[in-house]
Amino acid sequence: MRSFLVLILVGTLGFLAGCGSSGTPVGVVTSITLTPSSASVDAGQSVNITASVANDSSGKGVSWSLTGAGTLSSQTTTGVTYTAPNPVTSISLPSVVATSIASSSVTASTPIVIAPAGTVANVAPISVDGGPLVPSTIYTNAAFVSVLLCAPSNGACQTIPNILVDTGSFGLRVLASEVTVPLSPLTDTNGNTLYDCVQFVDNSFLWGAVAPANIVVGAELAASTSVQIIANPSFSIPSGCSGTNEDTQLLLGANGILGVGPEPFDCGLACDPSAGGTAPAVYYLCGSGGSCSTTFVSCGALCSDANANQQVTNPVFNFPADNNGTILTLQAVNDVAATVPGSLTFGIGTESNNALPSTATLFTLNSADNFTTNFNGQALTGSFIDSGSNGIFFPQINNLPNICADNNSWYCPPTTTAYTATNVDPNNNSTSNTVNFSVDNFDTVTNANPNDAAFSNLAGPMGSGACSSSNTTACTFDWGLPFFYGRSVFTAIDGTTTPNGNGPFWAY
Amino acid sequence: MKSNFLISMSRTSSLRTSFLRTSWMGVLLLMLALPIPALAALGGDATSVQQDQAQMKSTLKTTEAETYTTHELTAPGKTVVKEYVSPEGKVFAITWSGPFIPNMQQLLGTYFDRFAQAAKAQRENHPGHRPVSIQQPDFVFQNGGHMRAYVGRAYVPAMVPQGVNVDALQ
Repeated sequence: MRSFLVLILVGTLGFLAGCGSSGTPVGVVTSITLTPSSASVDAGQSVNITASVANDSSGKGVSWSLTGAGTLSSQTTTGVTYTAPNPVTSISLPSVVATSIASSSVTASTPIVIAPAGTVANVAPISVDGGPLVPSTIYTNAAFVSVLLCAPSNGACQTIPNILVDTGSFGLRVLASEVTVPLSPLTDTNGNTLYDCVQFVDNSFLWGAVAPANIVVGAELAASTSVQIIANPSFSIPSGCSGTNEDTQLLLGANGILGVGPEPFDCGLACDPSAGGTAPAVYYLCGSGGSCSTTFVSCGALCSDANANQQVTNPVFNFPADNNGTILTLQAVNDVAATVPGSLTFGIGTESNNALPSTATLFTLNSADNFTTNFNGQALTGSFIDSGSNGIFFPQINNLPNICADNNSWYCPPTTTAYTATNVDPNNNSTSNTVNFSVDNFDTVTNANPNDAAFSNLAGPMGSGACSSSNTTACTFDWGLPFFYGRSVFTAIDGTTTPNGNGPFWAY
Repeated sequence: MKSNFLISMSRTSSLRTSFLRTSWMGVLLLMLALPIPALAALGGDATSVQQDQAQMKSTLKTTEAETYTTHELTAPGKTVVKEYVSPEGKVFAITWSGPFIPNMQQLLGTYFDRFAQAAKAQRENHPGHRPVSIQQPDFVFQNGGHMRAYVGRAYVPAMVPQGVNVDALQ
């Protein structure tokens, strides 16, 4: 295994070719810092941007240019005024680019969110609509969102629709086949590229390069945030990254996954160099020849690491505001619906539209981000809420409910069966909320409604038998997407604060 | 190191003719250096536990119950894998718990293909992301959890020692 190497972003930080690690020649511009580094501007309004150039001995400063809508004025070698168009017709992310006059290969940019008047910046519409493969294949019980993905290097942007909203993972992952803007993967000083391996509970994995991108969801910007570019690279995938490679839209059922669960990073401290020992099989540095080795990657200040966070990061955590969590809301479903509208709201208690109602129940989480669900006379201590699971999943006890013969991942009771479960805060063991739900016969209800995307009563097995320390799979209850129908579920991110307490927590 | 590991290692079919029992250390070193071992963990000989240990760069702890032996491996990132070995020296059950999913190809060995096919068939039967549950007469696989907190188990019902409750292994 290679020792940890500080990764640099080639092409955007603007290191001059030939400087390398041997030091910076005197008088050569090394970087430009823009203030503000990002902004959000209303229609017709302006923002002043200033540039500070490191090592600019000739004092020549910068020249300015603009990618996208708006105008520049009052240009000097140290500042410029950006003015948004009026009216703004759609949400977009123009970029003001500063180029060193002494050294034209050194650039920096300030991305600016502009949105039509009346846009509620912290809300993104979502939809349970079957996903990108409709009508040939319907992905049931999955909420999809559109994301504006922009390249920090040149400001180019694209909208990627049909991205799965997943409160069970952290960070944005998009299929390389859908990406048209020039994202530059992170590399180390030896030219090795940083890759991420993410394994999901269904034996699928995503493998691909890690690249910083400017991400806009709703009208909120996560600037220079590491995303995973799901790809099928030219070299072989390390054996530690195993399962079903979901590297196409057909296999993934989506154009990407937006992980907005209760953690900021997809790996966190276990992948930070401070963990010591052998790096887990998550991040890899790969040479052009195809050899890969696991590596540590910093998760920044939250992990007490002086190096900047470069792990794949929950974009919400990187928003300048409304960054402490999300509210996922879906309309109620009475058994079956063709499609279901909903919303993903950013921030908890940060705006007039995202306060936790007094009627909600708040559950703090254990160290594995789980709470307890009392079900069938057992306390299932590994339970969780996960919009990325497309049903309700719980242990089969005494061979009930019946597992479908043709698909062991679903329940097929003879008739629709009612159940009750009680969620409990694992830290105080007293805050609780009882949930009534029903389980349909999966075969019957899906065969009878082949064109519908939303099924409120789909459930399947997760483990079986008695919950015990050696059968922890039977100590889990997965409140998947059907749980969100008719609810607003609050997810507070670990390491953040809200008026209702520190993250992580769930509330509904 | 327990002596029965050495014996079963020398029984390992594909290597049997190549190495004498007395050269067990050489066999062990060679096995540590092999890329993906052909030998299985689940359903395989106890030797595979050591291969898993090498592959996972993990630490190993062994405890013995009356009717089976438990090998506990902790992989980088602190995922704990337990492999349960019958008196016949066969791995009859595996459990895992922790932030990362272990390498199933390595842990399931000859059962991996059945696992992968069943998981794939379930996805094709009905697209979407969810836990895998496989209930076959001679192979059970169950898992659950979410990113950074996964649990699961796999076992071969016919190999579970008599009188052992597979839901309450130690």
